[in-house]
Amino acid sequence: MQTAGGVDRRLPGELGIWMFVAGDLLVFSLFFFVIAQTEREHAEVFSRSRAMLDLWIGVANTLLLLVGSWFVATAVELCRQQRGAYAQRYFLYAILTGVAFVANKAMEWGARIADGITPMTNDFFMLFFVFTGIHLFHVLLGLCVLILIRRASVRPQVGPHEIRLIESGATFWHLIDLLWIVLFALFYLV
Amino acid sequence: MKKVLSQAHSGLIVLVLLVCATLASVIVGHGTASASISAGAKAAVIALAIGKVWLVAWQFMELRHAPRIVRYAFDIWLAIIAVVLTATLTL
Repeated sequence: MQTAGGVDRRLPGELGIWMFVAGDLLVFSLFFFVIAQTEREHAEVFSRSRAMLDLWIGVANTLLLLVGSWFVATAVELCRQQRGAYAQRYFLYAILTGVAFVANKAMEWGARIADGITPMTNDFFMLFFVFTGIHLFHVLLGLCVLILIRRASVRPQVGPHEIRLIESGATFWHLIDLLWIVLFALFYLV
Repeated sequence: MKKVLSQAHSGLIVLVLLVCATLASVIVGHGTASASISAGAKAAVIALAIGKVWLVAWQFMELRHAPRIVRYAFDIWLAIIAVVLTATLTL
């Protein structure tokens, strides 16, 4: 599709990934509302429990995903320019940010569990472990996707099919970043 | 290659904005404080998060190049999330 100015108007990747994005956004919208509504009903519990979280682990994880998204976006542009050798390097950096996120999250959960805090402790930690757990599952899936599209980026011929595959994977990775931004604000800040 | 550098450059500017917004939301939110933050601070944290989500979608997910209908749908969804979260947490 083209605009009057001649700029291509298209969604990167396959249509299917955007349908998945839309579905996931709707499901997480419900999660966001549940967190906010529970906070409204149990403000004191949320305030006390939030103080038990390590804010800077949350900040570090946010920065890791943001930088990872930039690496992925740059790698996609390099693929479009048939510069797979450079692109695979950026994909690798993005994979490393994802692995660091998982390690950070494991450390955070480990520390809370060592303190005797579990999902059964109260409403805040029930929501915290369940929703950050669902998000962590997305990150692990996203890492597999990044490994897959990194492989596609170094094929001798990176044609339109490979580009669409790479764009689809990248879109999924950005979705993970986007969802974490709201979860971080709701669990660590407000 | 020039186009790649230009894309990376604009992406880097957005990344810096996102990092600044994250640090600003930490300063406003005082997440480790035991006392609850004010309604105004909560609204500011939500506004910063919504701004960050929009930037990620616009730049990294390339909604800036998407058909108008998709951009409008996303903006409407984001506006609804902003209003619902702000109202639920502050009113």
